Amino acid sequence: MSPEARQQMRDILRTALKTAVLPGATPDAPGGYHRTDAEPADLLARFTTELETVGGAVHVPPAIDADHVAALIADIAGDTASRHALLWDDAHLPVPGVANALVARGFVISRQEADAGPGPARDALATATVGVTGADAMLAETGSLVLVSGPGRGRLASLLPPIHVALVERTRLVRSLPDLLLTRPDLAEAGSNLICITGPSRTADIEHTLSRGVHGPGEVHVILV
Amino acid sequence: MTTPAPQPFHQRTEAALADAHLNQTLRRVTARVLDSRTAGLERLPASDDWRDHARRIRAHTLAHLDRYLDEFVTNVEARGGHVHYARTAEDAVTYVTDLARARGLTKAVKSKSMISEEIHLNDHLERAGLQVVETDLGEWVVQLAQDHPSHVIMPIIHKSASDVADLFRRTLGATDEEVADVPAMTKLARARLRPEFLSADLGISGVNFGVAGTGTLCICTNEGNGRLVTTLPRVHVAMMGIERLVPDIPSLGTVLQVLARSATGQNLTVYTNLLTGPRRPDEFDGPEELHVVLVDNGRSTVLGSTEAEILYCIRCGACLNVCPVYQQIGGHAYGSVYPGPVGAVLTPALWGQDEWTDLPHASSLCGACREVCPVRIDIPRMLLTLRAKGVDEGRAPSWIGQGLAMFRRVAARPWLFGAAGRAAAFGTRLLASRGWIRRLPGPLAGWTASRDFPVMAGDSFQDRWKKRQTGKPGGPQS
Amino acid sequence: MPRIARVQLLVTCLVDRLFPETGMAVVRILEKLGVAVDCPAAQTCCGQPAFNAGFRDDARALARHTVDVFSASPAPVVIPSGSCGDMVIHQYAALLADDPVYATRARDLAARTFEFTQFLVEQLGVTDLGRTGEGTVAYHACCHGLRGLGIRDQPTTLIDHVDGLTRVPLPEHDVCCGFGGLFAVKMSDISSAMLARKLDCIERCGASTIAVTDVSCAMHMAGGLHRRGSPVTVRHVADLLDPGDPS
Ligand code: SF4
Repeated sequence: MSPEARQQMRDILRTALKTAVLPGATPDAPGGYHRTDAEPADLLARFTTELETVGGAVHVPPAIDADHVAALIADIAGDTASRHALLWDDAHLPVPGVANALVARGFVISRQEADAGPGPARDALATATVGVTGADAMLAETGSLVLVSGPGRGRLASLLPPIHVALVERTRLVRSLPDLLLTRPDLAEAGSNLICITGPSRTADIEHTLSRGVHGPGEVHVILV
Repeated sequence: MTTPAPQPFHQRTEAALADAHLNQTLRRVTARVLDSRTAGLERLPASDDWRDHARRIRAHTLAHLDRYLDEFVTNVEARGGHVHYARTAEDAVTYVTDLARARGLTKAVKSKSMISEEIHLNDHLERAGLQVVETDLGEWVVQLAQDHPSHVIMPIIHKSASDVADLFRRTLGATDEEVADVPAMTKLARARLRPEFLSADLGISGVNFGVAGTGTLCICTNEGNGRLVTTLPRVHVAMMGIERLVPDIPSLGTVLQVLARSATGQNLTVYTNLLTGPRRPDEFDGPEELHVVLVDNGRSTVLGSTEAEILYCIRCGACLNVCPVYQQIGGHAYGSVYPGPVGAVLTPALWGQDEWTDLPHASSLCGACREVCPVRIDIPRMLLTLRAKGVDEGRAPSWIGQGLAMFRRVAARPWLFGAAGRAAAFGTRLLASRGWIRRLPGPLAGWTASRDFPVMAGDSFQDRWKKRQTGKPGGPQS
Repeated sequence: MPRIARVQLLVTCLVDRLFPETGMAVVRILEKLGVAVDCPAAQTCCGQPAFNAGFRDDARALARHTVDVFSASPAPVVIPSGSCGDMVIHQYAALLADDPVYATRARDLAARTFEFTQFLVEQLGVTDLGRTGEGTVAYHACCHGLRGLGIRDQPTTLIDHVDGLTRVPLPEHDVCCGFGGLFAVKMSDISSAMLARKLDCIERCGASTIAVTDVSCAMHMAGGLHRRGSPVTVRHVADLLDPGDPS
């Protein structure tokens, strides 16, 4: 914006503010709300209930290694002829070697390189049936996953495929989105995108009747590691 | 540029009231959404405190909007985004069409944005040769039907499932199977719109909140189209009202805590999408360019007025759902992109009362809107200030003005008031049969369109009171 | 609770001319409770019709008149209407805010003005008036009382203590009946549709009487019921609590 345009904007607003009637306005920034109610005793239980309420699922593998996790993902993906996973880079998944373990189970693996726009490469990514990501936080109050974008952790893995599987450590549990943004505001700027996902994609546009998977994944699974 | 009201308000409401199908759909859906809202807020401990705090945040931001917008611009630009302040609707559409031309863009996918409806962005882009595809399911239906949204968050609340099925058959050649039920139609939308997302080079979104301190845009959607629109196309244009700011990220957390709960009863929308600048050099995806268009189009005028409080609005739609007038006439009858109680204030506040003088009167002042508003906007107060402005501008029907002026002169003189009351009572007895009047004369005939009017008492309370006091020891006391 | 010995009655113009017996019932109830009632003869209209229509100057003139009339005595003011009550208690202060003389007096009046049922329950601490009655009654919450003054349980508590009256729930009891003053005339078609919805609820609920705290809404609903040929009546709560004249 040019300095002149900015000055014009400021002038217009300052003139308006002279006569504005703004009940309840305080001179100091109120900041975020500091809640006083007690945190749920069992964050994980709350997270699980909330995620299930919105149609997601929480899984605990019998053992935490690439093979067991891959088995679970294969299970979730179902017996589809086309096993095709779009993955975050290994370095950003909490369990090493998941990609290879998936290949061993007959999966085709797509890695997201820099998205160059419309074309065959992007179309190929769009055929993936499962997206596998990590997550930066799980929010107990709402059953949400928080993912910050970055190199090796593209946005598309949690967006294009019809099934999204997130591998997350239990230590990532936080009470709620406002609590997270209050204590870790830096996360919002850590990448160009912070996405907070609360269950499967849904619409209620037609007669407020719920229907899942309209544009984003119709299934959201969390594997606790 | 404003949306001209298509026909006189009375004609629009008449049509809406006569539409039984519309009335039933509205009643059913608003009741459902309101129940969800109540449940959503009940799940949140101390929800009233959250609402109070959200109001504080919005009030404070508006009171320092010059400073926060300045900060916002600085931070968006620091992250490599571009910002344009559009004083008018023309200015805003010109910026976007020029940009499209300069970059050689050909296909735009859009997620929901009330402000682009407000400025008729689609029309202008299409005239500039772009293909524009609405991708929110409701907005897509609106586009296919060449209709207008009738609610700020449920654009097709006026359409039933069978209306949509018919539309898909007609415009998309959908099979019966593809429109068998809502999930089937949802699947159809996914299949038809996915290729559009993958091939578009321009993504246009609205903005729920801009964060001054970081230049972050927050976009709340349920379907995921908002993410696709802001991730796949090479250019992202975000259309944003100048008032939609919060100071910082923690404040954002607070307003988000009440937005979805008030709107649909969800804890959060499925996707709460925070975008800070375009794709970074080391990132895999996201747009190469980000443009934020700050649309004023009357908002600074509203800010400088007695109706500035309406700018606290976070567009949850709860006041529409709860409004007994909206429930009867739906959104289209208001004639504005912003219908319902919020629209009845915002529309004339933005664009004056030449076109919109009826809207502040389209309310019984029942106050239900104020009660459900997550940021406790006193809508009835502003309906009244707008009515007063209408009177000052000489817009009130003369029979009301003259009638009230006479009433005031009479009521300021108690003896005359008593006499006039007796005369009126006599008048009602002349018009009545068996205690009720079936037809009132002149402009009052509206009353007796659907209800009888009672006869006034021959001896008023004051008469009876005096008589009673006279009979008492000590005689009349006052 | 400090004993209140004397009140002034702001009877409202609608009660005065259309429902005088409701006004008398209010007087009888208060006197029976040992509260002396004054009814300043100079009172007229609180100015709400003009205020709601946007005629602020006219409304201000009537507000000043009302402030004058009820400032002659410091006694509390009782109003058998949530709507006029809201006008005096909440709108006068805003309307007269810039008036050097009347701003303070308006605030003072607001502070000692009470809607009738709130006065009984909250100021006098009375819930059981020892009345008897018969039939089924349903309560409709009038908008300004409910959302302006916070009248919620006071009327139903009073009704529930009337022996022999059965109270049934009214569906959508807190949805506006569509009155809204001039709204009912200017936007008659919308108002009529709202009224129709209200009357449907009333006819479904099975009550023979609808109780309200505002006679304006009573007039509106009763007029609609009469047009429909319905036998259901609409009464002010005071009518249901009326002890009758002692003599
Ligand atoms: S005015 Fe309040 S209730 Fe209405 S849409 Fe805005 S925030 Fe929601």
